[in-house]
Amino acid sequence: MLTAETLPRHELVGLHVRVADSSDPTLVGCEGTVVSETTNTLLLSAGSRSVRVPKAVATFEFRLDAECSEDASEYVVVEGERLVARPARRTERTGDSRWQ
Amino acid sequence: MYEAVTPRPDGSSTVARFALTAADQGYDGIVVRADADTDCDYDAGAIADRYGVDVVEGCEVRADDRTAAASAVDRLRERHTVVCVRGGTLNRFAVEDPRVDVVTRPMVDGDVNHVLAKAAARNGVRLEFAFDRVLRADGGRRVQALRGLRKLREMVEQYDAPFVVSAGAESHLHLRAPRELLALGDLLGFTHDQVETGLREWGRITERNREVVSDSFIEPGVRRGRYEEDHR
Repeated sequence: MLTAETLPRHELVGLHVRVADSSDPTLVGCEGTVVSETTNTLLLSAGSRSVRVPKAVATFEFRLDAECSEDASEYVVVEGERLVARPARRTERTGDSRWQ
Repeated sequence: MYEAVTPRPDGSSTVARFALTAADQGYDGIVVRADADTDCDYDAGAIADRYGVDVVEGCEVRADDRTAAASAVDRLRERHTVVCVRGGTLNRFAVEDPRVDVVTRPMVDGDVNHVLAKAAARNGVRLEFAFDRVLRADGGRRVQALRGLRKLREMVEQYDAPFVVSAGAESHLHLRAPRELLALGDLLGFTHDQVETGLREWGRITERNREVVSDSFIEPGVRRGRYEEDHR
């Protein structure tokens, strides 16, 4: 189930994402669908353009599309640091305690 | 800058009286840390509005052993903004649990060594510099308190552990203005920056914990909603 709580452990390929903030200003505003993932980067594709975004320096805004037809999309903002991990291993990490 | 207070029935003043005195002395807010088991009835919002200081609902866990303390922290974490654990024998338990915010009076009945200081730095548990015995005790107890503070300060400086400063007020007459605590810290070997950071740290704990319980927060680094909304 893809929810806001499970997003950091979920498969990211196929999700729509936008780079909301980054220390590299050329990356801010890049939007697209995640096509591929490595330990340190996400490959976004928008039409014919592909952008490889390093995870550690960016803050991503994922769109979780609602099942029903109306536009009730939920957005989740994730700091890229939280996603830095090998994709297969990322599903195992439970993340830090809320109160850390 | 905030100050931590212990109201009735453990202390001798009510929360409102503390708020009035703190407002006069120039504090931005007070952290009310009553004993976890006693029911302390006060209306934080009303007192905050009336006296112009932020009233933060906290609690202090005083237990005899780890299991009792762990179950108390479990129970209280969601309900209170600031969770403190009375130090001493529980020092080790407290610094290893990331849900705990502050260890109070760690040098009374206990000790802080490099292991605990490193664990506190790793888990984000603040060690409290308690000025209460320096202010109100005398003779041998005061000497021991000074010794404990000096050791704690050296540990905190060396291992970069987070810390808070408090005068440990149990009555409104025990509250001391920030300026006075800075002067006292000077005599004890603290820098002005250290004491000021310690007093402001209460405010930072409050702000962070209020954000954590808000609806949009999911875990460190993950939140709901669109980016622009969060950063307005």
